[in-house]
Amino acid sequence: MDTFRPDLYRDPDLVAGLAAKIAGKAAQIGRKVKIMHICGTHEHEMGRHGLRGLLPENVEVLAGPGCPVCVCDQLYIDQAIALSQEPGVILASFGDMLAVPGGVPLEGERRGDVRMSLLDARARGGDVRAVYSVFDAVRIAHENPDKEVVFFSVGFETTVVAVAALLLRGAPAELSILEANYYTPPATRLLPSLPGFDIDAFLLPGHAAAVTGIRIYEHLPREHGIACAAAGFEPVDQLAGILAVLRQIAAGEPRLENAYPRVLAEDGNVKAQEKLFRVFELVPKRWRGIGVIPESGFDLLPEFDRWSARERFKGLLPEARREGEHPRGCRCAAVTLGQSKPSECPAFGAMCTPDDPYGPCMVSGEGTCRAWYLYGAGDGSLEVRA
Amino acid sequence: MCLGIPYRVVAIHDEENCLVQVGSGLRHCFTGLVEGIRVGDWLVVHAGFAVEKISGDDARKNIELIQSYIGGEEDGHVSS
Ligand code: SF4
Repeated sequence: MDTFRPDLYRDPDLVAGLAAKIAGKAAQIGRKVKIMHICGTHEHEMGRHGLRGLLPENVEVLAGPGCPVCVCDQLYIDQAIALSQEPGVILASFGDMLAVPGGVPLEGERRGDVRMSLLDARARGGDVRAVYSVFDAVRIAHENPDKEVVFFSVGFETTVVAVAALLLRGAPAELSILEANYYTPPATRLLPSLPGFDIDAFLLPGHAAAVTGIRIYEHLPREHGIACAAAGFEPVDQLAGILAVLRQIAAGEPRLENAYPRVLAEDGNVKAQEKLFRVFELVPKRWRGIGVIPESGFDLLPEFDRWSARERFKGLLPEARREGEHPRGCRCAAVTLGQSKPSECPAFGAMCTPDDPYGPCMVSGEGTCRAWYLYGAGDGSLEVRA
Repeated sequence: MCLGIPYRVVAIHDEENCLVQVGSGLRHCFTGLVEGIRVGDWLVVHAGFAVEKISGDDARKNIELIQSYIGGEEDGHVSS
């Protein structure tokens, strides 16, 4: 008999039991509590299951910078677009990235400050292919030995570790990696120092933390007094994480709590960490809408340079960042930091929809604007102005 | 890009590759970061790559933790 039953984590009785406890703790706290998650999958699942509708009025859950597609620097998108226009290059990208606008204006477009995406690059003749994993890019390289295959590696530690493991086994010489790789913990280190930061608790990303472990977030309760719980993604998991931080706040004892022990070991996956840091080094990276964060990204170590698109296509990659991080009027910078709701953006549901996205947060399944467009605010209200 | 749902192993190809089921679909999965995979195991998979295996023991602990939250015990699974 199975000892793991995925359906239990959607069990209506457990959901109701947790919701009742959350209401009790929130009443006991008696003031507004702001909880930030930093994982796009949390936002997506919270919207899909309407979990905000189960929370008392004084508990608000906000999305932080947890969508790798949304925080990917527009310069990387411009570089991927430029490479896709080179003869003999196949650009392999996660499907989520294809419609994300970069920094280059789309010619002939009158709707405002519309920028080029990889889809536009494909329309201009670029060989752009959607892949599910880096292994698909390897397969494409084997099938096309006369071509250069560039894997547009966008993602957090959970995704980057796959590239590390692949390169340690050896990869085709025709494959190279465009390193738009981000590391979550340094962003959480930066957030409390931002002006106006008023978050009481973090819901830590269950799967990113499955790689790193949760001790790396210890500074949040210790230095900033922020309650923390690592949580999974099912309704029961997210509600358990929310209850865990409310209990800490009510007791006045912020700490790190693992509300996802079926997946998350407190030290993380040590084997994965070891592979990650044998292949990559931490470097400063620019997060779209936030700026450069020290040691917040992964570039290949020099001994793996032969697989670096940065090295292989030196001179062909645009190096200057275009003015304006986001298209004019797009509020993704504020949305990414939990300072603005998608529905407060004038473009939301009007000029910007999942079918025709204007800003990056409307593209990926993990983007906050897209989740709000598809599921409403997650509390039963649909604020789309269509 | 990321999915929060676990995948079930339906066939083992070799030490580092298996076939997983999600919904009614099947996918290839690389398992080089997780040891001792067997048919029937549940995996957390990201972009074609198993990040963790869910053991029966850990699953039981997880449900006990949730029940302790609901039961009102104030000593959940705390790491620091
Ligand atoms: S709706 Fe979201 S993605 Fe679209 S323009 Fe506004 S802030 Fe940007």
